[in-house]
Amino acid sequence: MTYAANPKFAVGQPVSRTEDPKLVRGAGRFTDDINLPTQLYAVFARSPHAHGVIRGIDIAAARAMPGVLGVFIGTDIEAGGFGRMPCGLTAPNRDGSAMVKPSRVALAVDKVRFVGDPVAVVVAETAAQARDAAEAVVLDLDPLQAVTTAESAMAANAPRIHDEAIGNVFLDYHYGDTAKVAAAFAQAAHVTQLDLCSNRIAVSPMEPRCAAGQYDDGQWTLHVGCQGPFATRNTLAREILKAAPDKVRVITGNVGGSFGMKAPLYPEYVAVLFAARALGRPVKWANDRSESFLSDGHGRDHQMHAELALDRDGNFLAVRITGTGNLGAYPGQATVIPASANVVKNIIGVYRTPLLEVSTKCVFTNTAPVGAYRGAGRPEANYYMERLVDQAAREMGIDRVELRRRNHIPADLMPYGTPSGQTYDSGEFTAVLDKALLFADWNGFEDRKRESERRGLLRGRGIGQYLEVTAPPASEMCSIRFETGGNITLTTGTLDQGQGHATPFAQVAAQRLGVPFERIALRQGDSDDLKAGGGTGGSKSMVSAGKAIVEACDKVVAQGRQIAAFVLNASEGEITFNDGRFAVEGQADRNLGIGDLLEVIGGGLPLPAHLPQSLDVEHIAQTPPSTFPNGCHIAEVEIDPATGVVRVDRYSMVNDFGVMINPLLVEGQAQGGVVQGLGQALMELVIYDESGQLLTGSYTDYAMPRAEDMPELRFASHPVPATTNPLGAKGCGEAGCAGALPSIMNAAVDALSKYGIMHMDMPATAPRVWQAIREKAPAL
Amino acid sequence: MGDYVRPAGLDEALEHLARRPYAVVAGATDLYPAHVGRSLQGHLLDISGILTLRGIVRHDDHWRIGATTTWSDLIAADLPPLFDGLKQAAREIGGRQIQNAGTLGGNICNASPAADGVPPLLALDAEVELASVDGMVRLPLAAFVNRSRSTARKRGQLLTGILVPQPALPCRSAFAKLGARRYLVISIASVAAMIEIDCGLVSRARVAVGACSPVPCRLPELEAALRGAVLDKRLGDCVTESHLAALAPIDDIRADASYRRAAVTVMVRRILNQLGPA
Ligand SMILES: Cc1cc2nc3c(=O)[nH]c(=O)nc-3n(C[C@H](O)[C@H](O)[C@H](O)COP(=O)(O)OP(=O)(O)OC[C@H]3O[C@@H](n4cnc5c(N)ncnc54)[C@H](O)[C@@H]3O)c2cc1C
Repeated sequence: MTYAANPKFAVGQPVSRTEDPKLVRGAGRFTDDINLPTQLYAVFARSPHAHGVIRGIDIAAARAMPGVLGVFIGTDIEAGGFGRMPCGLTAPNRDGSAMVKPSRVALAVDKVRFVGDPVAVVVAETAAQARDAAEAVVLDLDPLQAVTTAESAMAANAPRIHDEAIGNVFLDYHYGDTAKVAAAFAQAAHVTQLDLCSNRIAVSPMEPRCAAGQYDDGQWTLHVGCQGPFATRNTLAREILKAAPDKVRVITGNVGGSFGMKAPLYPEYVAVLFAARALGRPVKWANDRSESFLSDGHGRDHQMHAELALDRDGNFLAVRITGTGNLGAYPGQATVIPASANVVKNIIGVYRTPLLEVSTKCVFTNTAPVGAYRGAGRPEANYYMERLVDQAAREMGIDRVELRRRNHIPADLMPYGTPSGQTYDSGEFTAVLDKALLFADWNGFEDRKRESERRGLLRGRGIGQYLEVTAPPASEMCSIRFETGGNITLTTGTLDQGQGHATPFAQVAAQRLGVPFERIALRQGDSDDLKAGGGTGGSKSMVSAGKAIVEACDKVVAQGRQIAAFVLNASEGEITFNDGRFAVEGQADRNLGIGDLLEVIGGGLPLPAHLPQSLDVEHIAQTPPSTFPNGCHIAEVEIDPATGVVRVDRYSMVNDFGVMINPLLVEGQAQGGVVQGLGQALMELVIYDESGQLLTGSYTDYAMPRAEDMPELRFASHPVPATTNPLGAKGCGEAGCAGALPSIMNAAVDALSKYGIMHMDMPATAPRVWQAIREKAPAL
Repeated sequence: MGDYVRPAGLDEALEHLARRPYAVVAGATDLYPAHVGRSLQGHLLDISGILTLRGIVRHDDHWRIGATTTWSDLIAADLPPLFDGLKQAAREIGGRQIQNAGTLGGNICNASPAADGVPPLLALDAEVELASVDGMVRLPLAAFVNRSRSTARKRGQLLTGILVPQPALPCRSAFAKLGARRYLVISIASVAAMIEIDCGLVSRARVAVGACSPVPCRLPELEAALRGAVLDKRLGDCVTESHLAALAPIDDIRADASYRRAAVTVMVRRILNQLGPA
């Protein structure tokens, strides 16, 4: 048989996604497509109030409704021996004390803490019966005052949401040398300051959250969309079910988008497992879109005071970020990282700023928990810095391009140790900027601006030069199995949520092993397959799974060499491996392809016991250090001063994602990130009223960008291979957001600077822009 | 849910209506979202099977648009410039799926302050036709949609058609809307205008605004000021804030009143300029 790698699927080729034909035919298997024999349906009764003491939950009426088999509340779950929802992260407070970790019962028992907090699960024969019965659950509450912003939650007279959290502070985070930073600011020739908001986002993946739980004679199974079944399984087993890991199985099929949101363990998952055991039948639950708005983890919601100290020549001396992150009602599902550690890591970006200080308070409020969202603090930090740079340039009368060049970390300083403790392995930031200026036709702006002005429109241009620190190392697994007939199954602990892992992973394996790309299938999503696997998150899958795949392929080759030596009657040291063929050194005609070896093994040739008996490999890799994807995005916007409508007219980006295994998918990731960035910059905003009611509870009131809102996204690359991983790749999944927020907002402010406007908060909606213009130019 | 009926003929539908307080269902694109998470209560009369209620027909001095004509039907119909504004509104209602299902009758009967079909129909001086077992009546659209979320429809009546007079003179019409995005959006403001032209002068103008008052309304002062004006690219320059006195925009999470008032002034000017010769 011909069993060889085809160069058209080599690393670096824009191979289209192998799963797409299946997905577009509707043959994908998302969690809600799973239907287990005798399955029941769950619907949650949720709190309509943002804050209150529970006096009682009357489930009698619901229990008596047609088709209802069980209604469970938090005290049932506690009595059933289930553990509480964990908060995995630990970070010390500024004073060295440990951060508080209030515990949470999956269904609220003592208090409700946000609108949408689940208080009871209703299980019935049909979803409609469960829904009707959930409406009959009566929640008796003593309402308490609600707080919805970090500022109001920290006020002296604010109600306390968790007894342990004094002043509602979850984490009082600090990084940096306060005295040195203060001294740098004192000496500075110029200080630029901005108050910057990273607006709250409703994540809105196409596939809502969904889970199906099963319990069978001591064995638990949870079907759920997540970002890594291995970690989810471990947390469930250890913290909630108190069961041995081999008694718990988590299975994830196709995932219709997550963006960080589906990563944590949610209370609904715990409740369906509880109900499945209690009723002895599988139980499935699917969120509807209205519930998603209420109960999915939101993203962002930070308010920062950002300061940059510069010397007379515009050299950056220090950067200081002080502010708050609104984490919503519960730890665990919420994460402190975006508002704390990821600000530190990413605020340095591409600049030689020697000193930094970050002080943030992560605060509980009576709103939905706030978790990770595409970038999880990375785009925000880049946004803070790039807004500061543009602002400083304007205030000091230095050209914004020149100010950036002056402060870039030069390429010849690589590897470069940052004051935030990172070591950049590679990067050519000035070259990236220069290439982007050319690519975007920066110098042709004045003509385009005149043209816009002829049509009565303002025009502005903005640079967003970002650098992201992708997720830190962890352990990751890859196994390779050669099936009878020559198909190859690759299994990894990372988990696709729409990124398209199967294609680039197979490209790497096909090239390394010299086997046909078409024969390789990727298997993910079953915790029973895994011995390790941090999952997907923080733009790391290609790098971390990539290293695991490369090393696993090396092990296949090592085993193949031993077997080939035996078959070819040579010594192992004489065997070479090239393009999928094992040969005796110097005797090219004495050779065997991997396909031949498989036939030999499959044909039953007895192999001596000391030799590997197959080519199959199971490998656990220590994943490489964080990578430092970076790039420069340039946006041009047009603003209608009469109505405030902002439109992005041109968008060009030059990115350094190192070696691109599959440039087609990389470009797709960059595009998706820019679209979400544009949404945050121009239209998306979750609004709660003072009593904690969600005002933006549907797409009627929560605006998401559509194709119509997008300009052509021009994509170019300046790849500088990473030196810290065998593929030379850098993470690309979240970078689009990091480039989009600052480039679009800098462009909007640039356009509005005609009226002396120096800052606009995101989202720059038409009414806000109009208001800002009106305040400066009432006569207009 | 109570009874669900889907008659094929109008008479049958009217008999049902006379008997029981049915809720009328056309495309259900307003009805359904209004019941998210709750099942529909009461009895439902689905009028989508009544073929005679759908379609656009020209008569001697007027046009008749059947109540269940969808936005897509309207977009596809071969119509004179009189309907350019209404067609533009149709193109900006929801997305394709909504345009395929949503009907003009439903848009009117739902009586939302932000109904995009209403301003262009006001600008066309449309009347609605209401049928019941007792017979047929006609009402000016402005008298039919009389309060926010409420119409003059009586029990037992069905909106069967929309009647648009055919002006004697050549005319032009236009529509524009402003929202958080262009498509799939509830209007912050929408504007429609129709002018009749006589020897390069405006012989009659009708201008209507949506989402800036409890029900979309016309701007009679402005219409008077436009009469006799020279039709050129600067027709809108004459618009002043006082012409918009009839509006009472509100504050909500999409925009505040002062923004709505200012933006709608700009939109009215622009749409009138747009009606000038190319
Ligand atoms: C995603 C989305 C986007 C939308 N975007 C827009 C938009 O941009 N602009 C806009 O104006 N609207 C928009 N809508 C609202 C809606 O689509 C339109 O108003 C549509 O025209 C309603 O028509 P329908 O046939 O679906 O009405 P239905 O929902 O069937 O009916 C609406 C109401 O009118 C009554 N009714 C319907 N027909 C009759 C009749 N013949 N006689 C008496 N009563 C009747 C019904 O009982 C009901 O109370 C949107 C809706 C959705 C879901």
